[in-house]
Amino acid sequence: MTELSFFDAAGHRVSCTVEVEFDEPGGPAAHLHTRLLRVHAGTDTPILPGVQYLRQRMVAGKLPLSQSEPYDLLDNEIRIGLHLVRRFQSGPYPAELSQLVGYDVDVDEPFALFVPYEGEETVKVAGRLTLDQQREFQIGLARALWLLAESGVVHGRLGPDTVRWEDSSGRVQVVDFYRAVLSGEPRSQAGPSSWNPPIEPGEDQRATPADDMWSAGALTYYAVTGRQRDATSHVPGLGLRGPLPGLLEGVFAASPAARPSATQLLRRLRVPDPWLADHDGSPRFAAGQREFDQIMAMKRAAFAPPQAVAGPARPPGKPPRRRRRRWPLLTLLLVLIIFGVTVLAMEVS
Amino acid sequence: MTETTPLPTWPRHEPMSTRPPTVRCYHCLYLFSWDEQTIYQRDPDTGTYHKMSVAGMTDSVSRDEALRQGYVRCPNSGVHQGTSEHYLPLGYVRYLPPLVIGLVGEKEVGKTTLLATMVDEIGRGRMTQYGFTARPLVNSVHSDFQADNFNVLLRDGKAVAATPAASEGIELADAFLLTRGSSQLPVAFFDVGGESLAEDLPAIRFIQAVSALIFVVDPDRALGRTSGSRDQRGLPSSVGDRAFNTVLNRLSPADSSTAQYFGQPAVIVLAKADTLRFEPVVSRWLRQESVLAGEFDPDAVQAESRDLYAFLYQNDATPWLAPFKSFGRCTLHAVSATGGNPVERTYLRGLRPRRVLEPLLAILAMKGMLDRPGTDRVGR
Repeated sequence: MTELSFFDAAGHRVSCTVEVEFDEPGGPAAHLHTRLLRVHAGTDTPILPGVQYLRQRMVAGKLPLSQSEPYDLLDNEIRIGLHLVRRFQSGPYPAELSQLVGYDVDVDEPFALFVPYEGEETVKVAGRLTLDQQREFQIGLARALWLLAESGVVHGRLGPDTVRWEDSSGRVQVVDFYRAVLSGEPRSQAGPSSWNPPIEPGEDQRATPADDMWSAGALTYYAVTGRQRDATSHVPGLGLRGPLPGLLEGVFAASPAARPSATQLLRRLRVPDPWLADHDGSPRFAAGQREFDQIMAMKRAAFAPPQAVAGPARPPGKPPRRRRRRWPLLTLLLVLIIFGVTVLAMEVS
Repeated sequence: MTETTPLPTWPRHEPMSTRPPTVRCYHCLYLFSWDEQTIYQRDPDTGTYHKMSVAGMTDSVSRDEALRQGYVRCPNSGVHQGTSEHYLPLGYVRYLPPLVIGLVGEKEVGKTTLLATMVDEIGRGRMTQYGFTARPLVNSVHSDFQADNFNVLLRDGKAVAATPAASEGIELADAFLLTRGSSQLPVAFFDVGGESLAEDLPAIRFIQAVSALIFVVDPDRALGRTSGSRDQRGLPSSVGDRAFNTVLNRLSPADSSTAQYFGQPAVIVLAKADTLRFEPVVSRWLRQESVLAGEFDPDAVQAESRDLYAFLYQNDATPWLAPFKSFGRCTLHAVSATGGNPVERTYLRGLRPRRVLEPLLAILAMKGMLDRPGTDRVGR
């Protein structure tokens, strides 16, 4: 067990006792390692009550000055993590994005701490999701894109290893922001990837949420079909049926400006704006929206074309009995009786 | 080779053989048609008007120039008690009945600043991507507006002066002729001194003649952010904007079947929205500059209206929402005309107008004049 001292997202120095649970193999770059820490029972988790584990990203070992990439990636992941935490500080932090807990860079082995990631990498579930899960995946990814766009963050590396799927909750989580930039900043110089949009010659080099939209489209195709689409194609994929072609319409457009926004993607999925669910849960705000809806309903009723005048509604159940018209029959019978009586009377007389 | 400029022509849909449209005078509300013969020229030095006839003019260039600068005397001038001599720009009565847009709000809520930036954006051709070309309807009026407001704000980076009170006479602030295909639509903006509206003076009767309204909400007052703008309970004023109230009391419902609502389209503009840019709901919409992208999404208009309604409701600014409850079709928009507050009447960081044309597009959509899908759903 070791004492871990670090800065929280607000810049306050805090500490807790931790134990290394395990080291994760591999990592985003050489010398940038990841491990899971267990917060020692009996000590307070300094940031998030109830969180018993922390995911630590660290630069392992002291590197020569010429080898700055791991430090730069870690610095960037902390920068974007702080940006997201501050962006969502007024409400609950969105589960669709990994959450920075703290950091310390002025030590021999600089590190960042995160709430442990949810679920497993998309690469492990692609092509095996049920129809309901496919829809949950699409909605979760669209919500994550919306949150990133709202935060002004371009992930820049969305793919099967940075987007995770939590089976039990049906949630998507976007993680690993070490290559992310703020919208409008130059794109990360990480080299081409089959999950990133091809950059057209002469194209603006500033990052835009449309970059992530392209990657999310490719990932959605992969998660549903289990196959990676042709990265050079501008259409969703030949031979696809169901809602996927409609959902991905325009997502692979060569021009970033021609791609749909995350809001448009959510509308295509016919799900409500995440704003309501995540960002202003205040009862007064919700009451205002309800009042808006009521007033709009009253206006629509007032301006609706007049309906045809109908009788009172019948209770459901038996169909109405058709009333028989008996009067003509009775009249005929009466006439016959009178006629018969008259004839009889004439004969008697 | 000499380049030839096409001569201005009479509107194709209103040939000279047909009678000019009936137009309502914005001074006295009198309905009249121009006789197609008599116009007046205004002497800029004395402010007096001189009668002249265009009937004998055979040179089309001279004739059109005379028409462009001409005025028409309202036939009701001096006829009824309380009416004095008054004139209207010929452009106002020459085409289809104009779309008369009134900007409503108390003094210094930002109406003139908003209008100046709208005029600038129209002049920059922002309406072209919606199929409209625009030119000033009355050159003299446009020049005056530029000199008084536009140059002050956009060239010098200074705050514009408060609009003169309406008791001095309602005047056209600026007007454009929007052309799409063979259709020509005059759009006239009236910026009325907020004090006069709040004081319910007779001169504000022009409100009856408007075809659309822009209600300008000052967030400092609506959210009670200025000293003295909250009551003893700490809530923003329950009175709201007195100019809003006066207009709502003045207007007449469209017809008996929908007597609950006014028939004109209306928009509520949350002005100076840059001062709320750290409020997530406002920030969200402020960053969506649809007009810059040439877009118009009726669903987004609806969503923005709903969010801003809830935002004002949440902040106890419900009196400022009265127009939404009173007009059959009404939308809400977050707008920043300047991008920041002036310091000692100067915009130190320069100007960055954002979303100033969104309200106009919503009005055009609600009037059925915007050729985009789904416009029939806007505001309803």
